[in-house]
Amino acid sequence: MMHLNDDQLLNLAEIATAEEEFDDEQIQQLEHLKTCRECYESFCLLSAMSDAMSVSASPLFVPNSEKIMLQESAMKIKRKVLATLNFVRKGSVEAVNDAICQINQAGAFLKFGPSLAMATRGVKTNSEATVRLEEFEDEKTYIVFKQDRNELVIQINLHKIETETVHVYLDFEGGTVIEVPLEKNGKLMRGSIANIPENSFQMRIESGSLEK
Amino acid sequence: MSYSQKEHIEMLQQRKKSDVQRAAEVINSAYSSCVDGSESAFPKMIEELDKMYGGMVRRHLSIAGCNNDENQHTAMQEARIAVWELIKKSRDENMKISSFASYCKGIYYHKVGDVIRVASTVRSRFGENMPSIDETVPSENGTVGDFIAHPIDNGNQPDVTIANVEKRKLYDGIFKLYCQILTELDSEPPRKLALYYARILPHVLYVSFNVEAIPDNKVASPKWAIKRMGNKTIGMLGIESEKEMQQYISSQLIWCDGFWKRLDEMVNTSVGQDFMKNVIFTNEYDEKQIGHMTDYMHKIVAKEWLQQVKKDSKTLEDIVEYCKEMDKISGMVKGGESR
Repeated sequence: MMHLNDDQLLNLAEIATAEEEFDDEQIQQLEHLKTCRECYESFCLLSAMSDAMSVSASPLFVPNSEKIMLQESAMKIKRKVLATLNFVRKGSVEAVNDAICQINQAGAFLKFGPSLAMATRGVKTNSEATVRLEEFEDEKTYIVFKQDRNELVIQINLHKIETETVHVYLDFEGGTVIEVPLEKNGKLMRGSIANIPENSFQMRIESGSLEK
Repeated sequence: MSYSQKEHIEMLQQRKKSDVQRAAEVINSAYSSCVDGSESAFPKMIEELDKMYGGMVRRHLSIAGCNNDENQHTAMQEARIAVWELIKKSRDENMKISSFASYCKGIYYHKVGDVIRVASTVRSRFGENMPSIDETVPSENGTVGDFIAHPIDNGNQPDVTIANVEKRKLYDGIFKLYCQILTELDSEPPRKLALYYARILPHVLYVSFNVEAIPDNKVASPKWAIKRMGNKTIGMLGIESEKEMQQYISSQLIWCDGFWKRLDEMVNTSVGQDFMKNVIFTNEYDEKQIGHMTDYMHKIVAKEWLQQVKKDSKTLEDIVEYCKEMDKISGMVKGGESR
C-alpha cells in the first residue's frame, strides 16, 4: 500500500484522539500504519498535537499572570496616544468648524487649533468647505478635512515627536475602526482617506503602535 | 510495558463504527424499555455506555494529568446518575430521546470535564507538589485532607507529578510551535485571522482564564469568532491578535512581514476597493466562510508543524511513546466501574 497522505493521517489522528470510531476505509488505512514506520510516526505526532489543543489539556498550561501584567504595561508605553479629536458630523458646512474639537487638549502631546491662514480667509472657498487644523507649535503637523469631498488629509512631523512611526485611527460608534494609511517621507508622515462613513467619529493619533 | 507499533494500531482497529452502531442499538433499546417502566434493562445499558465512553473519560483525565481510579470512578458515577435522571425525566414527560446513545456522549464528556475542573482547582491551590494531607490550611479552615476530601487529583504521587511536568512541557512546546507556524506562514491574513479567532483564541482564553468562550466539545467556533471580531477592520484585528498572542502565548510571536505587507495592498471588497487593513472582516466573511478558512488553515499549519517536528528525532521518539500510552489508557477495559 502507498503511504497515507497528510490529510488522511490528520483525519485518523483526530478520530483517535476524539475517541470516535473508524469506518471500514479508515480501518484499512490503519492497517498500513501497522507496518509503515514513517506514516505511524506522523500519525502519533498529529495525535499528540490534537491532544495538546484539546480543552482537557488546559489544566496543564499555567498562565503567568504576572508576566501578562508586565507585558500589558509595556504595550501601554509603546502605544502612546498623542492626540484625540472629536468629529461630529452635522451635515452643515458652517457647523463643521465647530464640530471638530480636540479632547483634553491641555494634556495632549499634540495640540491642534484652526490655522491662522484659514481663520483669515474663512472656511468656504468656491464650492469646497475645508477645515484645517494645525499643531500650535509646528505648522508641518496638520489635519485638513474637505467636507464636500468627504476626505481627510493628515500630515505629522515626526521631528517633534521623536518616534519612528505614527498611526492615525478613526473610531466609529459600534466598534468600527479605520486606520488612515500614512506614508513616510523623511521626517514627515502623510496620508489621506476619502469616503469616510457619514457618522460622527473620533480621530486617534498614536505613536509606535505597530512596533513589534 | 509499552505497546509495539502493531499492537498499538490493532487496539485502535477495535474501535469500529459498525461495532459501535450495534452497541448503540442495544443501548437505545434498553433506554426505551427503561422509559416504558422496565428497570431490569438499566444495568445492561450502563455497562454498554461505560464501554462506549469509558475510553473517552480516561483519555481526557489523562490529558489533564489527573487520571486515577478515584477520578475515573467519580466521572463515570456522575455520568451514570445523570443518565438515570434523564430516564426519569423521559418517563415524566413521556418523551423518548432519539439517538439516546449518542446523546449520552455529551453527558460523559461534561461529567469528566467537571472532574477535571475540580482537579485543576486543587492543583492551582497546591501546585504539583502536594503538601501532606495532615498539613493545616488556614484559608480552608482545616487540613489539606479536608480540602480534598472528595476529589480529586493525583495526590502527591511522585510518578504522576513527574509525568505531568513532562506532559506540560510537551503540550506547551506543541502549542507554541503551532502558533509560531501560523504567524510565519505566507498565507492570506483573513485565513490566518480566522484560525486565530475561531480556534486559537478560544483555547487560550480557556487555558489562561478558564473562560468558556465556545462549547467545550468544539475545537473551533466561527460564530464566536464573528462576535469577538465585531466591526473591527482586518488591520485592527492584526494588531490586537498579535498583542494577545504575545501576552498569552509567547512574547516571540509576531505576524510575519508578509502579513503586514498584504494589509497595505488594495483589495476588492463588497463595497468597492480599499486597503485590506481597512476592510471590516465580518462584512466580507460570514460564518460558513470563516469555518472553511479555519479548517483550511488548521490543515496547512498542522502539515507544516508535522514536517518541523519530524526533524527533531528526540521529540519524535517522546511523542510516539506518549501516543502509545494515551491510546493504551483509553483502550483499557477497566475504569471506574468497580467502585
